[in-house]
Amino acid sequence: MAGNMFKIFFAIQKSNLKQIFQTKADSLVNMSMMLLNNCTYIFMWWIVFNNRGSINGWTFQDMAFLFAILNTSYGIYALSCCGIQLLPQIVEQGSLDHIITSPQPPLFLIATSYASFANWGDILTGIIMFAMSGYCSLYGFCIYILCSLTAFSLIFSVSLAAHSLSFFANNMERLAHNIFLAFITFSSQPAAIFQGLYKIIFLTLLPAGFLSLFPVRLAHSFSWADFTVLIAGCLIFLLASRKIFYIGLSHYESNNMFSGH
Amino acid sequence: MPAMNKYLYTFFISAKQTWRNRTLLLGTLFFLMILLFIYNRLWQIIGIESSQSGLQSKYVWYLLLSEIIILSAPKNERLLQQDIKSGTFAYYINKPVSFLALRFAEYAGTMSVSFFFMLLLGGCATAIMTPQPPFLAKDIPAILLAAYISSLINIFMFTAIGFCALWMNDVRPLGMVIQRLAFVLGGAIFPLSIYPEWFVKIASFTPFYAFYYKSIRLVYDFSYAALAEALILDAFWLAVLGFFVSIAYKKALKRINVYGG
Repeated sequence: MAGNMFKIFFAIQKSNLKQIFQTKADSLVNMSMMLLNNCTYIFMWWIVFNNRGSINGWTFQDMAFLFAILNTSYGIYALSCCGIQLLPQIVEQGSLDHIITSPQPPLFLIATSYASFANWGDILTGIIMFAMSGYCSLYGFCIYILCSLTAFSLIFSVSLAAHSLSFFANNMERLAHNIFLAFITFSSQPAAIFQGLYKIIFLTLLPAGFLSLFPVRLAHSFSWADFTVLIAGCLIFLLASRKIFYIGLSHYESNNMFSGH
Repeated sequence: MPAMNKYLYTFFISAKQTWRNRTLLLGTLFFLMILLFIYNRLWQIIGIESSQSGLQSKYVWYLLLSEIIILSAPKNERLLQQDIKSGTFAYYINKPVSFLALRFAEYAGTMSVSFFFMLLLGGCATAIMTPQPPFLAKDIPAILLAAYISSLINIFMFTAIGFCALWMNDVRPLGMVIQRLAFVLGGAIFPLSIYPEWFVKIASFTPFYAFYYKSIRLVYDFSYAALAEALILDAFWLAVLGFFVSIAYKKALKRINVYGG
């Protein structure tokens, strides 16, 4: 089953790439614009840190490392499974009918149904930001890869939970998008500005702290406690979001609308 | 003037439709609140670290106005692209209305409802978060007028971007880049007063400096001279944009007359 899923995943990615390369110039322009878009954010933060030196112990290098992880993980998410963002449309148009009747897990088929080539710009940005972060050692690289993967799982989890709300109510696309955007926005801020009660909310309701706080702490120095909390947190959110999706799916009723996907 | 009535009615109908779709408004408000919360914490900490009282108040009110201008825009470059690509534009050519004026009235109606809705609720939230506003009560009408005019010009700028659909496959990346340039060169997130002088000098030659920074900074640095300067600069760049839009509009008309829509 897992072997088949990998084969299908690669076939879908190949098909997405072929579609994208039908308009090579446009795709490359979109990728470059994404890169430019990301660089404006880090430029603004560079200005702030240049002005202030540090913000509650955070330096520009920490911010660059955070951006490296955020961009790389978001790039992986967008290239491999951002079909989740189409879930509200799929549910409302009745396109879920033929997905749930196929032998593959519906979550897998929905997640891998769409990819955005422009998000290669995010992965490129991530690599550039890592190079600028000053954590360019073998240890730093291992933490960068590990935390990019945990961040990818968090982004996927939050996106899945938010977009699964469409199973429970109509017109949830915009709300889901805003919840997801709020998560990304929280994650892209220096974690040092959230203390006390805000830190608890930051780590639980919107798990942005797992994306911004722990990776930078691990980059400074490894701690088994931080590592365990990070992995446990990611696993909990992943399982919880999967549960929400399947509960929502069990509530799904076809609207008898015939449509292809 | 009777000729203006149809555009006024379009404005009001669009405003009523936007008000009916309150879930969309609430979603945008939710995102605005997230941003205000995050940047309030950031400027609070920076203010404490640099012992600058009033810094948090100045920059959070600045952020409120700048985000209202950006978030209230109805993504009209995508709507206009759809009109051009789908042939809706051709459908309106033989009607006794200016397509450009009609669409602008629609976008302005949508924007106005979002603008005042977010201003009312976002303003209350900001007033709770900041101890003392950086402006006097008697200056509020002038400040809001400048911000509203900036919002209208913002829509017009994105209308100009929408017309680029005549030459481009997809204007969304261009719209995204222009918005990021507004963040950096217009100081839409961090005010230009924290940027180095050489950068502010470069930014002063761009339209974003006038549309965003000069108008919004009135919230913490109000004077009638500054207001007059902002309005004169707005008028200049509006003329430049208007020139581009009129050329693009004539080109679009010519293309439709030649190719039939």
